[in-house]
Amino acid sequence: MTRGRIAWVLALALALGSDPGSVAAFPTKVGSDPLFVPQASAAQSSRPRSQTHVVTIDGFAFKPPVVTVKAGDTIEWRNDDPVPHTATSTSGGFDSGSIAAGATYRWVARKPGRFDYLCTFHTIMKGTVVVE
Amino acid sequence: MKTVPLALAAAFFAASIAAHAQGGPNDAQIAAIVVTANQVDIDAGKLAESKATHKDVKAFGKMMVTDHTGVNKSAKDLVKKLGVKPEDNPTAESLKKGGQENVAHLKTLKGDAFDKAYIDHEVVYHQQVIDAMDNTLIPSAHNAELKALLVKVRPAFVAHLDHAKKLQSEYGK
Repeated sequence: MTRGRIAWVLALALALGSDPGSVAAFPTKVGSDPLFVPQASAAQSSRPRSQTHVVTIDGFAFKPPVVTVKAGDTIEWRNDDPVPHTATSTSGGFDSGSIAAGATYRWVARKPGRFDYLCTFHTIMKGTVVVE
Repeated sequence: MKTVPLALAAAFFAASIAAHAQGGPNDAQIAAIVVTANQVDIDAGKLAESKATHKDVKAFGKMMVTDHTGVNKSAKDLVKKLGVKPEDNPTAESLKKGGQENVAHLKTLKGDAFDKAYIDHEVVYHQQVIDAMDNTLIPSAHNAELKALLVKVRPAFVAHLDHAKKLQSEYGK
């Protein structure tokens, strides 16, 4: 329960667009307490639990075309074009359906793997998500 | 016989674009050309949506309506923002005329003949618009935002051309 709640708070903090470095809600005084140092430095060196990676759909292209993420990360597609697009994996995983002009679609990458995807409306548009 | 309207439309379009050669069209004229170019393809797409036989061709027609409506909305929004009033000109006129002739011709056809004629025209039409954008519209656009919009929507025409060519290779025989 507690872990779940912490994860939720972290996810919320990330979703609100806060700096991943400021995720820790209670600042620790690094170095002030010798007993705290190993733990604090471990927390500092570790990556935030999950990140959001933005793929912009612009000019009938996915930018960047390849994103490499960690399991648990979120990929957000933002459609900056004046027409609808989709982000549809050809090997399962995700299918956004129609993303209207100006809209976004989010997918949480749970399992490692390589996901090639395309826009089913404009199959000339291709991209890849690599989940490590 | 079937190719006559297509050839005529292409000739009109090329001639009218050339007529702008001295100095090129101004922004108000470009706005009219862009809006007309999209509208022409929306009209043909609507017809294909209801008349095409093959599912893929129907879906393509529907996508032309959706995409060109979206592009036109962004063009109209920008034109409004810039306070530019689209100005009629020979190129926009010929596009409109060519579009009307195409739709009139398509209405006389049925079945596979309709699908073939529609897709053939889409291939030629999108190539023409891309050429016009590259050779005339983008270089002539004076306002930076208008130029940026043209550059941004150009890939739409490329994607449509690519798609139409694929359909042509399947249904164009």
